[in-house]
Amino acid sequence: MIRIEQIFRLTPPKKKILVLFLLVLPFMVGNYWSQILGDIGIYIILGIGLNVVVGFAGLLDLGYVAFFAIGAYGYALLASPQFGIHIPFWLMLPVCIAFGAGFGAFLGTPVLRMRGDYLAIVTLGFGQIMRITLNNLDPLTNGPRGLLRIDPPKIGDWIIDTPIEWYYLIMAGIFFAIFVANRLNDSRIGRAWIAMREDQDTAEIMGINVLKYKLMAFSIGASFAGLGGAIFASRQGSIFPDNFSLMVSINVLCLIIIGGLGSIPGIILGSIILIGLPEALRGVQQYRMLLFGGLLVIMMIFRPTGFIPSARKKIEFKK
Amino acid sequence: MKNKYQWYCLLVIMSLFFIPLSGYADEWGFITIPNGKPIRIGLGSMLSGDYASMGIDIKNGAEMAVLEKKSILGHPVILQAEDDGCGGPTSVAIAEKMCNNPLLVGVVGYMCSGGSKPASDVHNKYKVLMISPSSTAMELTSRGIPVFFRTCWNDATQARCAADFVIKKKWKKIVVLHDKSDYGQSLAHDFTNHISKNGLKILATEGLTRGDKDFAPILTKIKFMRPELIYFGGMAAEGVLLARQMKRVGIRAYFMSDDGCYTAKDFIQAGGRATNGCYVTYAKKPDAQWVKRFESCYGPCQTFSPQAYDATNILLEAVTQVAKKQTDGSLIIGKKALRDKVAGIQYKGITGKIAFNSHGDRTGSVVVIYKVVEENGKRFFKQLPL
Repeated sequence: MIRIEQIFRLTPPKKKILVLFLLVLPFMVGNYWSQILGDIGIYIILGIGLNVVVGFAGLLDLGYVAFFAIGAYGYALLASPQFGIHIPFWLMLPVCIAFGAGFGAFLGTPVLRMRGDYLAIVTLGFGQIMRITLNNLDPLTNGPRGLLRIDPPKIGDWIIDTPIEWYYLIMAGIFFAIFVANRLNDSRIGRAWIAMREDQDTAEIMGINVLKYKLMAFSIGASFAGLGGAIFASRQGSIFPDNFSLMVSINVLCLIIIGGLGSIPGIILGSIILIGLPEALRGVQQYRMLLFGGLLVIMMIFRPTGFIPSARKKIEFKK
Repeated sequence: MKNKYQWYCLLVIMSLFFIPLSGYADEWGFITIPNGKPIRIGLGSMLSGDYASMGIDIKNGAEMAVLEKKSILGHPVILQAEDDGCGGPTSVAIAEKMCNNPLLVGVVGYMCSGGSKPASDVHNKYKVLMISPSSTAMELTSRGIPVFFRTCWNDATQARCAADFVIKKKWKKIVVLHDKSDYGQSLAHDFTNHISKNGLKILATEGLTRGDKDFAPILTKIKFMRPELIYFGGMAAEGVLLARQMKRVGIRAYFMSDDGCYTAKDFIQAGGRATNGCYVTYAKKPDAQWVKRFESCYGPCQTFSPQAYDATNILLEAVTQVAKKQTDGSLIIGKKALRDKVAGIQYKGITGKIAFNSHGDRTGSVVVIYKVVEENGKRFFKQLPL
């Protein structure tokens, strides 16, 4: 127990207050806003994942939703009455992460030689193919009618189904994702990605196995989406191919760019703005989307690097 | 020990609060509306985006009912309309918002089946009533959710109506198309089922993509089968293009579609002469007087506003009957009592007599066949005699 006490003593008071705030937040805002916070949270997980691919490794991926769909459908097929299989949520989480990683590698392999715009187009295509396949593969996915009655997670007899309970689960997922992403960024792998992003040829000459690291970026990035997908499917209770449209990819990319490419606090702020703001603006009814679009444009004029750019990017822009 | 004693005290005090209520117990709990506070009716439909015109039509229908009712037992009634964008995460968020509002008695919605499916699970969790004017998917009523009702029909009812008509007309060569959406595919599937039960065969079933503009490749393929009827499950945007391009390719077959194509603006006006003779299944014409009143306020009545009007009225009617006024002016509404009242209601609405079966579907025949006819230079949907 000494370790926990030590950790408690060593954390700065600011962080203690933040953690306490996050813990009591859902009770302060009630069920509806907890639900929205959960939505925001899922996008934060997706954002952190895509940030590995786009922000760290510099590979523009427009088909990120495909991995999200794989995580969601992977869970839904193995934990719903569709085939009568009911594998517990906690067991499926690592499986869905592995699904995501596997498909990431699967997509990564053929597109390894592509760069920039070409890569964007191929991944865009993959995202669309995934949605259309899910829509047309009736015997497996029930087509456009979707998968219903997906199992919620259980701890013993306790079923997690209220927005507040979900909030804590998603929060745990986010902390896990942030921890992994930070560790990756500071490791040898992260450095290799950055070198690759800045100049692929130079990186290769310096002895970085570009193919291996690209594949790794795709695979690791996709595994986050697998995690997000599993959470999304079990929280939603029913999923349809329409839930995995191109707009999800675009939204995730947008929130990274708005927050600041490569920075995790930026992603969090970006999702709050991109997912939370339209809900907060419900009061203004039909002017909601207009106002939202306007705010984004204004932000891009005054803060072109995003709200909280990563330290490295900030220096680059100043040059 | 002292701690335990305090708990007992607290329990006794708490139970004192409930004594005035013990006269009418309700296993799902109560909605209490304090004195002077309005009763809220929720509405979830698509108010912006692809099918916004349909969603706004629904909102207008509900709004009209609420404005006419004005108040229940001295409490004003207001409509809380929310844009659920027709599906998935937004509908769930809206459902959470509605169900957590203590002054809300029930929801008219949601518009699309894709939104109603996840939202009905949320409503079931909180036991808040929902009456959908337009969600027709079978899975909504077959899952045994006690709080879900609808004033429209389900896919099977509509498909059976169309199939019976086809059998009566003795058409033999039938091609089924659908738009690969939840709605269109379910209809096409049920239609095929009913047709094959009667020994007729479907020549081909083809799915097309929503949002496509050119269906010539599919139609050319169909042309060589020489069909007598093309049945299309889907919405007007694609339906009207099919009806036009069919003629252009040279298919001389009848065209039949569903309520998605029952819109004067998007089907008849957009299709022009090509829509003459097309068949559409939709509810019986609503009360003519009501249509006149509606159109004087909101302009042309489109698809689901009559159903929304009826759904809202049923909800208001049930609240009026179940609500009990307290001495301090507040209202108490038992959730289970409210649900049971709606389940057993015999209501004479503008879309006909409304009663629900044990699943929450409407009883009796609701859907009829319309044909697009041109009379005196005007094109309109004409109801065929039963």
